Amino acid sequence: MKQANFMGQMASALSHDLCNVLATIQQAAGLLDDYLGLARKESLKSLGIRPQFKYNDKFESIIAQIRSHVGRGQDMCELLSRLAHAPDENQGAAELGAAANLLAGLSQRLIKRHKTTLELTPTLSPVRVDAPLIEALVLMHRSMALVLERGSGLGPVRLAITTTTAGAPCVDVTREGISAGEAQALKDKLDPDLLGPVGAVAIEGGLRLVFDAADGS
Amino acid sequence: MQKIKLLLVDDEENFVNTLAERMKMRDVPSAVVYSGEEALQVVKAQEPDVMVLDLRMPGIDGMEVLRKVKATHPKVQVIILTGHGTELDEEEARKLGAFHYHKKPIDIDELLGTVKKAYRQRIEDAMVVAALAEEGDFESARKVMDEGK
Repeated sequence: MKQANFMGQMASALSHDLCNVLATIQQAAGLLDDYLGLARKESLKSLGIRPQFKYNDKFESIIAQIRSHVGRGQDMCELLSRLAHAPDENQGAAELGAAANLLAGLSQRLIKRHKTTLELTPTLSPVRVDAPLIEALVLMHRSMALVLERGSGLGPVRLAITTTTAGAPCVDVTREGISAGEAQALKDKLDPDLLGPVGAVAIEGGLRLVFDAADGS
Repeated sequence: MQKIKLLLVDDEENFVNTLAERMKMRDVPSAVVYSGEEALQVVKAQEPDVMVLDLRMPGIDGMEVLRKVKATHPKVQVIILTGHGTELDEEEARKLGAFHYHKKPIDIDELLGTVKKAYRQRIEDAMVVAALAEEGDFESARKVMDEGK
């Protein structure tokens, strides 16, 4: 956990600095746009004597590109910041919906590399479990990686928060096309040390992680 | 029409200087400082109407600046603009009296909109204080002044 806290602090500091860099780039692009706007106004006021800046459209296109990538960077910074704070958030009381959402955001590159998509079933109300957020993330990520390794040509990966028949909160990490037998093989690859008190069950399509509900849930 | 006295506080010099230039193009000139210490000096010397304040700065951080400004100059409207921002930070800033909380990067016109709203709030508070004082309700007038609402 000390290592996780260290990584979290470093990631938090980096995320902050990255945000500042993006903010500076965004404002500089905006300032370029402001000057283009001034140039357009001067051209209009001069009734055509001062022609429009020749590369106006090109500059506008480049500025739009910069803004688009700043937006993309901003989303990444947000995810990095949430990940950075995971070790210190609600020790022992992760909210599964928030964890699944965060994991979905962090896993985009992994999903893309496997040429598939991720479907997340939204939860209607918070589901708190007796496990720290960082541990829930690690387990869900490991399960997703195992399901993805199963091979290409299968359907999208699905993350669903549900409950067992006994009412225990769980996360199903599945992919259409994985048989019960294959799922058992995947379950056997899960490191028992990683699981800790969390249960893992092979189900049709993949894996089910079974948590204990948090006190008061 | 009286111009808004705007103070921008951020240790990222390129960012805050560009922000100031863009604000000036929008007819809102601003003073710029790069630290919490400088911000407190400027507030003491020439109380601004509105301050846009970063949270994470070397030396005195933004939250401490906010606390001090609200204690000594409650009428100054403070807008937080930060690249760090957790929900806890936002909660604490609002409790300390921040007018609004923005995350970087931010669209200039969105920020300008918040600056103008903050300035309008300051004017409205001043009018409320004047009206209460005219009615002789100095206790209520003092309360509005102290709470900076």
